[in-house]
Amino acid sequence: MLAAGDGSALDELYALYAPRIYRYTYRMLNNAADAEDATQETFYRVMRKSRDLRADAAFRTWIFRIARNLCIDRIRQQPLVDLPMDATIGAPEEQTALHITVRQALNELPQEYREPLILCDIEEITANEAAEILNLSVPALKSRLYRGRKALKERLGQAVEEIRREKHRHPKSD
Amino acid sequence: MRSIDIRSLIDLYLDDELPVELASEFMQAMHEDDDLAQEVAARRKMRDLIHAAYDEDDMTEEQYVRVAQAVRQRALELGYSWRRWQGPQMELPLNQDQPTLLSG
Repeated sequence: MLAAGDGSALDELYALYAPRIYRYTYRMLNNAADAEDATQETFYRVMRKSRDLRADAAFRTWIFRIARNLCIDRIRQQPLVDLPMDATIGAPEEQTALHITVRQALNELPQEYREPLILCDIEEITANEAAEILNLSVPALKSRLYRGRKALKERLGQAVEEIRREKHRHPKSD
Repeated sequence: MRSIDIRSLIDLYLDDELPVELASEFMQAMHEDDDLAQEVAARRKMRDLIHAAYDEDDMTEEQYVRVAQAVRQRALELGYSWRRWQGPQMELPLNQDQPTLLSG
């Protein structure tokens, strides 16, 4: 298929992966502009590093690993900021509050829990692939995933209750 | 099944990672144990909530085109050739049904 032309192969890889890489980097970085930059840089690196791809390696794992490394570098340079207020424009008020609360709760988790949750529960990548992207064994990945879910559930349980209490205190705000 | 804490299997059940026989026993246990069924429902709800919270992260068409143009431009600058790494054993996960915006 690639023999059909370089441009078309690049087009197809881009069409297949750019939206996913963008979503993933957005979820890692919480910022649309940073996610756009990271997506672009991911494809630059794919072009530069394509010789490093082993024939037996899965392309998806490889490209996610590149994107992940870029995100980690970015987070090291500039820690995550609060979520942009336009993140859930158009949603009903309580839903908006709930969504921001969920994202904030996930952001506040330690990175070792946050990353498996983003890959497995949001991106719906298999545990095997996620383990490879994060350079972990599958049991280690699953252990972090389960602990992360538990920690998130505890944080969310409190937060959701607070939103409900707030709603009951101010019922007219609906 | 009864010798282990059945609640420790909830994540495996929701991840669809329980062997068929065990999944079947787990479902039976849910029918018999309301607390377990509620716990499973609560965890499923939390997963749905997380998905809903992250539903709106899609790349806009404008971003898609902008990044595509930058990537294509860089490919031209680098004189990049996909054939360089197209070994006979290499299979890129391409899907011909995907629309492309880079063409032309």
